[in-house]
Amino acid sequence: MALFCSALYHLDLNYFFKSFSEKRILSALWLSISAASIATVLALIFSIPTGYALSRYNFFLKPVADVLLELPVLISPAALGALLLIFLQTPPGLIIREYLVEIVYTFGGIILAQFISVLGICTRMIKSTFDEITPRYENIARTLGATPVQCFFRVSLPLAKNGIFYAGLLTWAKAIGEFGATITLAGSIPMKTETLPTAIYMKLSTADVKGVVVLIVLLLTMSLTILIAARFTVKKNHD
Amino acid sequence: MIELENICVQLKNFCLQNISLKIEKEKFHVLFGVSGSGKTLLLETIAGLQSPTKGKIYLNGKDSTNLPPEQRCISYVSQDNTLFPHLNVYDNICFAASMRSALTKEKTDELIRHLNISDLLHRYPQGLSGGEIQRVSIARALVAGCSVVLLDEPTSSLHETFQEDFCCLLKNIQSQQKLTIIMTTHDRNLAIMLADWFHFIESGRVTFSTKVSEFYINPLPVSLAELLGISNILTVQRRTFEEETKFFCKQLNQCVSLKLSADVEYEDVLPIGINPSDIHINPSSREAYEVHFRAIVSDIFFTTQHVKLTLIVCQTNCILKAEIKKTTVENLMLKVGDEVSCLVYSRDIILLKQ
Repeated sequence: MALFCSALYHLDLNYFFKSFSEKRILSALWLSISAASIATVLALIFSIPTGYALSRYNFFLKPVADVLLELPVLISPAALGALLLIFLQTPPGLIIREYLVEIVYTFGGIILAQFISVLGICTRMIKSTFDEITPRYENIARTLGATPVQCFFRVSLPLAKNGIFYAGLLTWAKAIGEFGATITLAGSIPMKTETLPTAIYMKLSTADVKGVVVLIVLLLTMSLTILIAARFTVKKNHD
Repeated sequence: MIELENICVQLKNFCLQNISLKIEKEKFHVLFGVSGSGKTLLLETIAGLQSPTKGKIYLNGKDSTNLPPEQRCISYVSQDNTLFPHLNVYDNICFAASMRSALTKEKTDELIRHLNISDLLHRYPQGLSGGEIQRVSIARALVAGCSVVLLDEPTSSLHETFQEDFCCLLKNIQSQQKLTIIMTTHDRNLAIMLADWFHFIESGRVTFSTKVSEFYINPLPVSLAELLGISNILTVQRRTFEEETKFFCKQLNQCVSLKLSADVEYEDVLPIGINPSDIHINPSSREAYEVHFRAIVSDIFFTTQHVKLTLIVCQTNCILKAEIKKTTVENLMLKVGDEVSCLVYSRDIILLKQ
């Protein structure tokens, strides 16, 4: 709270509104929102089946999958970005860059960095959501004639709807604030790969405190709005 | 017809052991046993939700041991009445209809009327009472159109007053729709009231199976007799006097006559049971060939319907339980310490087995 107040103390409102006409800030804002949204959708596409499998089934590689999902949460984001860079210099990485998509210092790099950073936490949250739903619903559905796939889409997924929605929003909030892996993999090229967190770092390095405060307030306002909206929506659905 | 052949199921702390059962078509089967005896696990195994570690399950003569639940066409109503909370009552019922070539709309509507849930169709499970959830769960299971329905303790969330009505409803539906129902319960009255076939399960084994119409023909296990409320368990010893076989009961200090099957070999020492309600206090006449003894009344407990007496048999000090009408207590002006004469008809003595 004190940190947030100190940002408000330094906030120049005229400068704040003027900033919205600055192309570099608008570009950073747009890149942050779009990259975080794409990374979140990708993370959800991967996390929903993974979280369900980890919650419901026991399989040989389950402990390995568990550890691999924890890794991006434990490892330093800069190290994670460096690891991605190193991977992209290996033959498979070079093939991806040559024939599929260029990742280093591009918009794709921002998405990949954010996706890898949030994947573990997103899967954990979704696994917890499925853990809270008793498998008895699926068992009953099967005795009523539903196949495992029908059970998933008609019983488990609708029951997990609120948890998945909440996990998606928190994942988005974490992705939009991602810094270490993004700057390592995509850099901070104005109007091309500069996101709000990397822009904060760049402005701070030139001692532009007013500019830093504007970006911080922008980032905080977005994240808080999303979180409040999420809580409100989940509560409304619950009621 | 469902046939279980030497079924074994192993869980972490519990197992079903060598269960062999024949479930006759279009009959009401009751699995009776105490909590934790394996009733639910056995139902789940029949439904395909648990895999047996050994043995075979045959459905209509076909080996279906590894058949997934959705292909067995066996509906299951679990004890915790798991109606899908994200669907209203109507959608819960339609879920079953959409999964299988189930009942027609007319028949579904008729079933909804029969189960008296027409007013609940647009409500969600969270707002229903235990009895309403129970009826909706059964409607959903029946709409699936399967001829076999498994019911796990369906009366557990019902008040005692409504249990009997609910059971009559179940029995009606079963006979009208010619269903094979397998129901678990630990309520002895409901078990006997509903069952065409009665199966007793204890510690993961089915130890007694019989048609209810032939219930007392074969000796009952002592543990079952106790659960059925036959609280007076005594023993008799075979004695032969001048080529005549008699059974001497040490606790009553006299011989009792037993009807034994000629085809069965019996041990020399046999357990017998006497229902508390079959002990008659101060009978008006003394009948020959029946069991008479004198006892001291040591306790009198009044219940809503009967009076329970604790009796100490004179000479042997054996403790027996008796159950008599309130009017009998009033007429006899019974009080603790009174000495009474007791009569048990030989036909009421139940032969048991260990």
